[in-house]
Parts: sequence; structure tokens; C-alpha cells
Amino acid sequence: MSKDFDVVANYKSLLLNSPELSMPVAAIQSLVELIKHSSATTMSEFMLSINVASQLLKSSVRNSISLSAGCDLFLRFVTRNSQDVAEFEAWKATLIVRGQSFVEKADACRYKIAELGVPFIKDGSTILIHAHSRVVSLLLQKAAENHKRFKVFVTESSQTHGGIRSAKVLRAAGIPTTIILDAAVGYVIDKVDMVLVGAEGVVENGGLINQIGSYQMAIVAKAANKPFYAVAESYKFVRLFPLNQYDLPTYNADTLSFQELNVDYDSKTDETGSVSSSAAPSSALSQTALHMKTSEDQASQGSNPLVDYTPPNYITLLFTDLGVLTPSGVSDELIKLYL
Amino acid sequence: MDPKKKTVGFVPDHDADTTTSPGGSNNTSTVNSPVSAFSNTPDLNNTTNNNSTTSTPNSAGSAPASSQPRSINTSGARSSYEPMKSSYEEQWGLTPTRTQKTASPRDGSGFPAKEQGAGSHKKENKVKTSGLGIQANAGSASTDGPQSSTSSAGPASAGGPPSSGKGGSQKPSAPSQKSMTKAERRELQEKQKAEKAARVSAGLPASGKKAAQVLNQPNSGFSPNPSKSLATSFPGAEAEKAIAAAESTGQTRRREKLTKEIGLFAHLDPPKFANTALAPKDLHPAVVHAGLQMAQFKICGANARCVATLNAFRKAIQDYQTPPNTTLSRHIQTYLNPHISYLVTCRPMAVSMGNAIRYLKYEIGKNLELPDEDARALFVEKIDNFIRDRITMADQVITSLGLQKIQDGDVILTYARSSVVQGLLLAAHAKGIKFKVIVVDSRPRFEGKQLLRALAAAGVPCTYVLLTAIGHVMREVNKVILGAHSLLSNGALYSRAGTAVVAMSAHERKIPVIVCCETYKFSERVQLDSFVQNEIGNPDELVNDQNNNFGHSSTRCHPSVRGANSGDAASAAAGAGVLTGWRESRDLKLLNLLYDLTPSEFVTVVITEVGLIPCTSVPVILREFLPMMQQ
Amino acid sequence: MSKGTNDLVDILVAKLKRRQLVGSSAVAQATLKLLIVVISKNNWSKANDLLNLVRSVGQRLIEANPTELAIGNIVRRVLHVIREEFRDAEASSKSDDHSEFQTVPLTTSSSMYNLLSETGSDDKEYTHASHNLRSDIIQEVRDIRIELDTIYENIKNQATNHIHSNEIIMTIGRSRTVEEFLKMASSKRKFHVLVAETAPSYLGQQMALELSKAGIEATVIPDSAVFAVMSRVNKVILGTHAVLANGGLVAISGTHMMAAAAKHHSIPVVVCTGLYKLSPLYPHDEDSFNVVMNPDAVLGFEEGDLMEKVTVTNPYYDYVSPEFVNLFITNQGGHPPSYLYRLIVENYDPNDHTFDPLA
Repeated sequence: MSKDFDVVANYKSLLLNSPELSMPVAAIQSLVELIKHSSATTMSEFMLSINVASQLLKSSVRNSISLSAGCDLFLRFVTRNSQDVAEFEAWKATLIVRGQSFVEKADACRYKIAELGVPFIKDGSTILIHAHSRVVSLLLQKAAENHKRFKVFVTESSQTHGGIRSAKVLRAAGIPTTIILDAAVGYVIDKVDMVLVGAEGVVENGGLINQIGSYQMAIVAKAANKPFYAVAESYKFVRLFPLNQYDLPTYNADTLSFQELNVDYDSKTDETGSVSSSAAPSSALSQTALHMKTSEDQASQGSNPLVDYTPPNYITLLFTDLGVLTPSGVSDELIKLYL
Repeated sequence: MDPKKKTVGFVPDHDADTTTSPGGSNNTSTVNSPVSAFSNTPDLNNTTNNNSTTSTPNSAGSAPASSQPRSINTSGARSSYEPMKSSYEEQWGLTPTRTQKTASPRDGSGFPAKEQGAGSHKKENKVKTSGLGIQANAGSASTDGPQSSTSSAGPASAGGPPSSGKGGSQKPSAPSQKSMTKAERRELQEKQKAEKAARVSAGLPASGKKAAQVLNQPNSGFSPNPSKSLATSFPGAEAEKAIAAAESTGQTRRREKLTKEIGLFAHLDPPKFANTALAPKDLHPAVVHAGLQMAQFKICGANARCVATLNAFRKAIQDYQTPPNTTLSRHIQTYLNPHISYLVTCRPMAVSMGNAIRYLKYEIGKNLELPDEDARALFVEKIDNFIRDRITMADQVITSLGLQKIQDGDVILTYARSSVVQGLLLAAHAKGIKFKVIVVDSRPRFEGKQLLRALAAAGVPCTYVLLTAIGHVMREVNKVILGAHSLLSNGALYSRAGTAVVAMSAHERKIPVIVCCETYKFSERVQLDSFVQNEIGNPDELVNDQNNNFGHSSTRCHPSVRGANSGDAASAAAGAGVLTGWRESRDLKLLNLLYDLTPSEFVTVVITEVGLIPCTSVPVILREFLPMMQQ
Repeated sequence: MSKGTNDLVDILVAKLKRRQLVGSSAVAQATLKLLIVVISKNNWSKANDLLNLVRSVGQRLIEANPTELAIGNIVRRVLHVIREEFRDAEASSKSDDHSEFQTVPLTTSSSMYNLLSETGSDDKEYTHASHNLRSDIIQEVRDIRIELDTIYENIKNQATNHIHSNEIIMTIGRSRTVEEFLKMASSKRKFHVLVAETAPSYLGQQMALELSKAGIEATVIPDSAVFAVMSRVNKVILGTHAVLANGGLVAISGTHMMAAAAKHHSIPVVVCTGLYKLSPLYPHDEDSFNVVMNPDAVLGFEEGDLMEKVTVTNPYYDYVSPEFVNLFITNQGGHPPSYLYRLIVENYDPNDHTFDPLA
């Protein structure tokens, strides 16, 4: 067995070492590592070890959506190829090769998406993006390289401050970027020509699971009749069919549970800790800091959801490495893979 | 006194009406034996009448009517009346006679006239769609012409009874038959029948034939000779022709087929055409004139129509002579009522007109006890005040409020033409605001061109497109400013057809839609769709052949363009429009809807003289503020 | 390319440039005819040779009139057929080598699954040229031609499935497809058609005239009355110039407002179109497929003094976004807009969306 190999640790170190690596790719990479270290001699033993490892991985992080997309894809690949295995060791070797080539191709995916998405960015347009997404940033960078002139509004994304990260990347690429409060989406929407978001996972019906705030952005975009594009690599397609926000795997009883009313509203917090005040919005945030104890604050942070689900009817198109898809095209791809 | 005034009143009016005079003069040559003509006609008429006339009561009704005034007149000052009349009858048919009569009986005494008026009015209603149009007007004009010239008292209020027998002088007008429709002729025939009954055996058989000829001629000479019948220059002409033709065959029922009612709109009045024949007796010429102009769309737009109506009524009130045994304020309303219903027969009443008239009636009702001259002065003043306060001043206030909403760099889209919007845009330009206007226009009236001309002349940068391109141009727009025909109590905007599409396209792109509307156009009415109440225009306006361009050159379909567009140049026969023969085709119909209803959700703000309000606040304004303002 | 075919290409290019040949249907037919000649009369042995040949011809035709999307569609269809034929030939010659992943029934040329499967099967150059490959390809291309010829037949045969008695139907412009569709329906059902006259081309008037000649009760309405009468309409049936990959339409000016009015009233919008009008391109810019016509039709040149002061625009097409369309009726049946991507996948190869020569 592979007890000697800690798949979770491997996964975490992978992410830590290469920040450009996305979670599903890292997951697959870890699973490939696992296979390398696997001492399994029988098929069933081998399959079991992979299954256990992927379960471990999924449970190791709070938000497992995109991670499980990678795990599921790889598992599916393994099972599908497990039917007629002539020689076990040779087969294991192929899996490893394929897995490694996947990691290489995964990078190419983003470039392909960027290539497909660039024509959608009109010269002189204004684009609203949400938080930080590597593939969105890449797309915009490519567009800028193609001499498109456009401006970007990016939401600060108060939980992760991904917006600040995005702004840094985009400004470095020479794209005029303004960070806005998450709450200012409605305010800017009339000035915006399109909304572009990344995805943690793309679900069966073409809907989107992404960092919290995407859903409200989609609603606002819909109300304003602005196109809402999602950008996602196809390895983020995941076999989930959430009915609503509360049907996500990340949802649990604690999510947004109501706290005991023992809050001391008089004692002000002088700082909200985690907020790095590098951008105006975040300083604004700290000024309007909730009059709660820090511990209380963190508790409520903890019960706040990290991702939300955007139903497909809010999504205009998805830019993926398989092409520009309508939400129903996603379902098609998933059916192809899993039937 | 009264009659003189009236007759004189007629003269300048009709003269002013350019269309009339040529008709009269042209025709002079054709018919020479007017007097004798009618005697035999009745026979001919009888046959046709039986088929074509709507009902016997009609003809019966007309008989006394026609005879009555004559007797009065003969007894009165006019010796010449009779011959003159007979000439009318032969040559122009009832219509002009009736107008004439309305004047004449009044001379004698108001009441018989009234009776008669009612009778004739009723009858007219039955035949109403047969639209007599301007020819009738032409006829009456020409009759009046000679009269006025002969009567020594030229200017206002003078003029003895149109007198001056000059039966001969009326002959010339006979040719106006050419422009006379069958419907008119039918009336004429009825009239003549009555005449015959009244004056036993008056004419010669031979001349009767002639008369018959004359009657028939127009049919053939009608369409090919537009110069003779001015009717062609008038929108209703085509329809009239067809209808007249239908009725000449004696099948009134076929009228429906030819007007080609559209099932969904069967409840709406068919398009109306200018028609003095519809005028009951006793109408003030100013009102008749206004009515005709409205019917011909020479005056259109809610404000213009309202002002024209009020001005005409003011004239009518000024010229009004109180009949014996009553007072001005008590009788004036009775006097005005036929005027109002006449205006309705010309064109369905605009909401603005309705509100103005209601206001006038209200003022009249409030001041029943005033002495005549005081009342007259008061009503005239009230009318002036209404125009000043509710329209002129209101527009100024709306303009100043609207200016706050126009900024440098704006791209403003507007549709068709609204006088208020035009004023606002010009004022904004005069103020030095740098903005661009996109004028969206549509067939068949191309009202936006007028606005475009005004804006272009002032130097406002303009773009001109047709309604179909709305999706294309809306992208660059950041404000839409529209005018209104009326705002209904459910917040819906009732305006020129096409407004709803424009507002919808703007709404789709979240572009603010600003409606400029004076509060006097607010209506108590509620309406959910454009069907329950609307107005149908002349369907022939949609036919875009070369003869039918209404002065809008581009109405014409340029064959080259169309050919290029459609890829089959063959279909574009030069000159003739695609739809030219639509009446002959059983399954082809044209619907020229004049208004549409814009749901309140498409309208961002209404600028009124009481401020900027959401359009759903119409009932509030109606209930709270307007009574106050009227105090 | 042989001299003869080159001349033929030149002729067609000239016709397209001069707008002597317009209309999706005519253009599609002509393009296909030319391609058959190009394939049969030229020498090629490798797949890429043929593909590049067809691409270069396609490129020239498209440049001649970029708004006639049907040209590109037909060229892509042919390219797709060529690829398929080569692939089949390849497969039959060395079937033992065939990767098992590609036998998965639903697999198309691209799938997320490819990320993990063997590399490069798509980029592989087909060199195998069996002796009857040429005739196979030509046969396949001829099949496309038969499809083009029977488009109206196939579409109109569906008419009675969509139109019931006493319906009120609205349309705009003049589309032969819609015309045939309605005429077919009128043989079985009685219904009423409202036609917006479609100023300034007035094609709607012609449409109404044609329909009335066929005994269909047709009423011409001015474009301004579209919203007003929409509430009584049961269906809006539209023709289109092209259908884009997202389900958007490039259709005659005025279509957008009609479709939007229909959407406001929740009236279903049905688009009748041959499959050859379906383009794998996306409307990156709504104006990219539009044509601006002579402004004289909007504001006559007679009014020159006014003309010189104002801008007059006469766009010929409208872009209608996909959310306004409820159903597409093609020669293959009825499809919701969400299914179009699938038709595109089935008919075109993703590598052919642009015609840059292959390596």
C-alpha cells in the first residue's frame, strides 16, 4: 500500500511551490505521485488506494470543488482504462506518463482559452472581473499583448483579497485597473461592457461554482443585460448538479449559522487583522469594521461561505479549452466523459 | 345679423383653404344647364337609391329638411335662394347645400335649423365612411365664393344674406361634381328626390339626362385626372374612390370589404376623411376649418390639435349670437356640442383636446348666470389662459426642467416629432450644451423629418435613421427623450406608434427614457394594450408608389435600392409600389395604426410642468394637483 | 491550383465583390459548385494539400464578401467532409492501430478527455490517399449539394407541426424559407399573417403580397406598429441571413425590435433557416457582420440641403441575441438555441474556424 506516501502533504507542497498551479492539476499531479509510490500489486488494491487518496485530498481542504474535479477526472480515466489491462506494471507506467503529460497540457489549456477569449474583448471596452483567477488574468494579458485597449474593474473580494492580486498582475501588464468594493458591482455595471469570471468548478448544467460574489455579479449583469462570460479549463468540469446555493458540497450546518447574541457592540476592534491595507477599498473596509470582537468576527468569517453557485441561465458563454461553449455544451462534454 | 356673419365667415375660410379654389374654377366649364338638370335625375336616382341608400327614413328625413329652409328663406329676404339651391343640388349634391342651409336657416330662426341639422347629421353618420372629403369643401367654397363676391358687404359681419340670386354664378361650380364622390351624388339624388316632391314637376326631361351624364362622368374622369379632382392630393382620396366605386354599384355591404376591416380592430372606427358633409348645420367655419386640417393631418400632434381646437372655439364663441329667450352661457354649450361631435367625425378626438374641451365646459357650467358679454369675454379669456398656462408655460417649464438632464457629450435619441422635445433640444443647443441627437423616424408620416430639419438648421449634430435600425443605433445612446400624446392613469404612455419599440429598446439597454408631457395630457383612462383604444389611419398611406408620397420623397421605394437589397430587381416595377393593387387582392390588408401604448416599466421619468415624476404618479397628479390648478 | 479552376474562382470572387451574387442560398450553391470543381480538377495527395487548397479558395471567397457567412459555412462543411474521409480511409487501412479512446461513441474531435488520452491524434497529418478517396470526397460534397437543394422541402414539411388553426403570425422582411413554410402551412390550416413592412427595403410588403397571392390572409403593418399588435400574435416566425455560433442571428434590420417585442410579450420566436446558414463564428462585435446601405432610401438625395447637415444611417442587418429566439427550424428538424453548439460540432471542424493555411 501507499501508506508511506502522504498525498495531502504532497498536494499542499505542490501548491506552495508553484503558485501558478491550479488545484485540480495539483491534485492529479499528487495522484500520479501516489501511483509512482504505489506498491499495490493487484488491480483492486491499486484502485482502492487511489480512491482513498482522492477522498483524503477532498477532505483535506475546506473548499474542495475544483480539487475534486481533478480527482474525479483522473479517477474516471483510470477506471475507464482499467478494463483491459494486459500487464499491470506497464499500465501503471502509462498512467504515470499520461498524468505527467496532462500536467504539461494543463498549462497549454490556459493559453488556448486565452486565444479563444481574446476576440471577445472589444477595443475600448470596460471589463468587470471578480477576485483573482489565473486564467482570466492570462486572457486579459494576452488581449493587452494583442494591442487591445480596455479597462478593468476588479472586485476586491474581501475574503481572499484576490482582487488586489489581480490588480497587481494586470497593472503590470499595462492594463488600467481599478479595484472596487464587492458591494460596488451594481454601481459600476452600467459602465461595464462585459463581466468575466473564472471558475472553481463548472457543473453538469453549465452552471458555475466560483468564489463567493460571482452569483450576485451574474444577477446584476443579467439585470443590466450585460454579457457574463465564465472562463474555465475543461479539467474543472465537475459532475455535480447543485439545485441551489445550499446544495453545494461546501455547505454545512455551520454555514451562516446565527450566532449567540452575546456580542459586545461597544468594544470596538481597532484592526480587523487579516486585511492588508494596500488598497483603498480594504482601508475602507477596516474603517467600517464591524463592531464586534475579533474572535466573534473570525467566527462569523468561518461560517461564511467561500464559494457560490451561478445557475447556467445567467451565463452567456463559457470560454474553455474545448472551445467557446454555451452552458448546455458543458453538459454535453460531461456526458461524453461519464457515460 | 347672424346669418350674415356666418356667411361671411365662411368665405375667407374657404378661400384660405387652397385646395378648394382650383376645384371650383376648373369645373366651371363642364356643365352649363344646371337648373334644368335635376328634374329627371330623380328617376335615375330612384333606381340607384333603392339599392344604395341606407334606409328610407333617411331620404324621408331629408325631404322635409330640404324643403323647410327653402320656405323660410323665400319668405325671408332672399329671393334668389331657390335657384341657387337648385343649382347646388344638381351640381354638388347635398353636401354643400347642407352647409349652406345650415347658414341660411339660422338667418330665419335658429330652431328649424337645428332640427334640420340633427336630421342631416344623423343621416350623414350613416354614410359616414363614404368620406366625401375635400370635394365637398370645394363645392361649398365655390358657392360661397360667388356669394361673397356678389354681396356688397364684404368684410366680417356685414354681408346681406348671401342673397344675390346669381343662380348663374353658381353654374360654374357644377364641374365640382367631378370631384364629387358617389356617396355625395347619392345624397344629391336623395335631395333631388325630395326636391321633386316639394316642387312638383319643375325640370325638363332632357336636361335630366344631362344631369345623369354629369353624374356618371365623374366616375370615369375621376382617377385619370387628378388635376381636376384635387382629391388625389388628399390622403383619403384613394379610399374614397374605392368606396365610392363600391357604393355606386349599390352594395353598401361591400364597403366593409373594401375598407378591409382588420378583425382585431373591428371595434375601432375605420379611418376618417375630411368631410364637411359630416358637418351638422350651424358650424362655425373656424371649427370646420380646424376639423378639416386635422382630418388631413395638416394639423397634428396633441398640442397643435388642442391649440387649434381652442382657437377655433374661441372664434366661435366670439362670433356667437345668443338666440332669443336664452343666455350665452346657458346656450353656448348646446351650440358647441355639434362642433365637438363634428371634430370627432373628422378625426378621433385627441386626449389633449378632450381635456381642454372638458375644461371649457366646466368653466361654462360654472358661470351660467353671467351676462352675455361678460361671459363671452370670460370664456375667451379662459381659453387664452388655458393655452398660456397649460401649454405654452408648461412647455417652458418642461424645457427648463429638461435642460438639467442634458449634459455635454450626451447622445440623445428621440422618436418622430414632439413639439416639446423639439423645443427642449433646441433650448439645450442654444444654452451651449454639446450633445448629439439621433432622430428615429418611421413610415408612413416621417414626422421626424420636421424635427430633423429644425435641429439641423440650428446646427445640432444629428443622425437620422428609420425605426428598423433602432437596435443598431441604440448602442451609442445614453438618453432617450420622447413626447407623449397622453399619459394614462395606469402609467402607460400613449403616443405615436413606434414609441413603445423605442422605449423598449432603451429599457433593454438600461438607457433612461425621459418623457416630456404637459399635465393637461394626463388622462383618467387606463389601458393595458394598444387595442382597446387606438386610431386607424388611412391604409393607403402605406402604399409607397410614386403618386402617393405625401411630400415625403423617400416614401417612395427606390427601385434600384430595393432591387439591390432583395436581389430580385425585377420585382421593383418602376413607379408602382408593391402594394398598389392591394384593394383588389382578397387576402391582402393594410393596417395603419397611429398610436401605441408603452408600458410604464419602460419609462424612467416624466417631465411635467409640476416637476419630474414617475409615470405611475399620473393618477396622483390628476387627483391632487389638477383640481388645485384649476381653481 | 490549375489555371481553369483559378479562373472560375476569379469569376465567383468578382461576382461576390460586385454584389451580383447575393443572398445566402445563391451564394452557398455557387460556393459548393466551385468547390466540387476545385476538388476534382486539381492534384493533391496529402490531406493537408487538399485542405489548404480548399482553404485558400475559401479565404478568397470570404474576403470578396465577408458578410455572406454562408460562403465560410459551406467551405467549412467541405473541409469537414474531407477530414472525415481521410480519417475513415486512415482508420480502415490501419484499424488495428486505432486508439480505443476514439471508439467511444460520443467522442467528438475535442473533449476534455483528450487531455488525458494520447496526444496529437487530431494534429496528425493524413497522408494516406487511397485511389477512390477523391470520388468519395466528391460524393460526400455532392450530398451537401443535395441537402442544399432540398432545404426548403425539408423545412416546409415541418410547417403543420408548428402552426395551428386561426393563429396570428408575425414576420418581417422577406425570407424564402418563411414564405415556403407559411404557404405549406396554409394548405392545411387557416391563419393570419401580420407582416411588418420593413422600411426602408420594404421587403415585408413584397412578402405580404406573395403570401396573399397564395391565399394567406396577410396584413401589412408599419414597422412602428410591431409592439402595438404583438400582444395578439401567437408566434413570430423569422427568416435570417445567418445564425451565429451562440444562436444569435444576423437578420434584416428590424428583426431585433420585433424579437424583443415578442420577448416582452412572451410570444415564441421561431427562426426558419437552412443549416448552411449556421456559422461557427461568434459575434465578437455586433457590427462585424452588418452592411450599411445607401442612405437614399432613408432620406432621399432630393433633400440634399438637409442631407449635408445630418448623418443618415441605413444598416441592412440587425444582430439579434440568442435569448430572443425560442426555436430554430432547420432542414434537420427543430432545435432549441442551446443545441446549436452541437450542430456546429457535427458539421464543422474546430480547426477550420479560421482559414489560415495549415502547416
